[in-house]
Amino acid sequence: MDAGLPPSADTITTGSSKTALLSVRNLKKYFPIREGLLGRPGLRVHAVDDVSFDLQRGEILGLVGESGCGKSTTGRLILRLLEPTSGEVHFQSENIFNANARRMRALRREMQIIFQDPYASLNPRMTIGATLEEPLIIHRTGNRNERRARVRQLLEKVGLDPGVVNRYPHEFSGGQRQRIGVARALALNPKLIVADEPVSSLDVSIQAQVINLLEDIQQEYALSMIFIAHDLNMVRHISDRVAVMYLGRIVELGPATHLYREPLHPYTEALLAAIPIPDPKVKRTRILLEGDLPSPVNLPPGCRFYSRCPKRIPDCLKEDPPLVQIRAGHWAACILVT
Amino acid sequence: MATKQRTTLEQFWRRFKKNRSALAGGLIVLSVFFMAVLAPVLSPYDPAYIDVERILVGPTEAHPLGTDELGRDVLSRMIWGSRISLLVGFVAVGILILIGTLIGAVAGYYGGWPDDVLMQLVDIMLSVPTFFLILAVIAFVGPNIWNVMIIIGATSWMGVARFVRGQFLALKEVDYVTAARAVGAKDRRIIFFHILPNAMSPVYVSAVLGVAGAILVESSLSFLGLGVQPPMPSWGNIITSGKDMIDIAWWLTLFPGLAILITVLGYNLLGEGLQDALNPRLKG
Repeated sequence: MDAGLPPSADTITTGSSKTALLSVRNLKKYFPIREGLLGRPGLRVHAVDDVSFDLQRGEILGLVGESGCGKSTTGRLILRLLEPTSGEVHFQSENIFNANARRMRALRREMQIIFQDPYASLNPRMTIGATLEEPLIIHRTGNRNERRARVRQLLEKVGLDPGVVNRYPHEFSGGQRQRIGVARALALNPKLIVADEPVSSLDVSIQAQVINLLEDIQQEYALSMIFIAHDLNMVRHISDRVAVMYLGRIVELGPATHLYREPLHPYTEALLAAIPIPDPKVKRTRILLEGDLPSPVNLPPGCRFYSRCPKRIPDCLKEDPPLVQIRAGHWAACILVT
Repeated sequence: MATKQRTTLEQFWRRFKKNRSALAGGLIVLSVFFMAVLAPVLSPYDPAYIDVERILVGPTEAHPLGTDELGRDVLSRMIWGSRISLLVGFVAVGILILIGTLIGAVAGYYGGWPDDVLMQLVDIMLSVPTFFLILAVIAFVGPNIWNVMIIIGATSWMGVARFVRGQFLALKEVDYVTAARAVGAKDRRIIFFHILPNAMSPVYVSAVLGVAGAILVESSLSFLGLGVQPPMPSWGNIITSGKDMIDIAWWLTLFPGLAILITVLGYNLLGEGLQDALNPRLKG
């Protein structure tokens, strides 16, 4: 099965790739699920299957898709918390997968992560102060007093009382814990933050607060951010560009304004149609996705969205459509729009 | 430290104190502990004092638990013997926790071939009948209390290793461990600061149950003459000297036997109570 030629470096970015903070190229991650018998290759889940994109300095890219589409895996590969099956991630023009352990530790100052579940992301046996001070200790930043001052400053930055340094995570609510997670990610002054569904497990009333916090710090520090979410609505306002993933591949990538107004891929259309409109008088045609999600272990030939696509035609089975630029900076992987 | 896990500790205590048999177990364990610590104060006679005028006297007011074949006071010898039980229990368990935690941590954290090799070792050790292995080794290195403690510890760490390995397997994927890796923490920091403190609660239970096992093994060894050597008193060797006179001096075997029974029972009840209070979901 031929996946089509991947987009080259100078075509997929909105600007020149030389200035991109992050360039992801042909990234693949296959997880083995069964050992091969007698030299035969085992079964593998194609979690991330040839993903390429660029991220500019100060840009927020929304990465959207349903659960299991590989968006979190992509986020972790970008931070090299997982080793890829193949592909490259260039951070400031350096392929991070070639960095040795020492160089990688230095690179980690520049790139941080915020987790989805605020109840799992903080060590229950460490005080908030110890959790926030740890990155500073590891990277030998300042003396003890300077580090303590920095911790207090971080807590204030995320809207918490700096007096909480001696408390333990179980004394905080989900929203407060997520703020602590944000503070930890900021501790080393990174250039890139991967936010892995940072608000998905919070109460709706808290979600907006945390999103606003992320937006504020993004602007204050001119951070680049990859904001992972499973729902297009959530990333609508915060994202400069949005990438939609389906079964390990980006199927549409474009400026947020275009993508919401004129989606190109039938999957994006279906996702947009699923967003509820807060007005009972507005009637809208909903697109119901029928059919089953194909197994990411045994991908059928042709377009991977074929089994559920409302617009499918027989030609869709001929090849897996490549991601192609349809309009300036707006890409889609669908033969109907090319 | 005391406020560290305050509410979790409070929850633990609330569940624990509802469990009467666990409280009874705790009380027994505490009593034996103080008996051992305060042996010089509590024992009415010198445990080695030989009184040839009072050989094999049954329980009387002067000797509540009678005297042995050399006229020594059984109660005093048992009180001093509890020190042996306690020492063996704690040292042996300390050794087994150390070995088990180390092996389990390495196997669970690194996986791959270290895991394969170490878990094979666990299976091999489990397949050997431990008591006979201990007997053979003691016969070889000679019976003394330090050998006994080391060998008990070195042959009973397998359960702890499996527990700790399982905890490490689960915890190394947890977000706060990933977060530590993301800020550049090295393996040593991740293992000791992030995984180990969160992996130890099932180990506490094994430790308490392990003390019961170690006391029993020590008593058996002393009974067979391969443990604590006379004249140093231990519950096991008091029974040995009494077993030939069981028809004329029943108190020589009954009281130390009861002491072993009650102490082991106490540790087991406490261990199970801890288990229920730490993992309420496992309770059947």
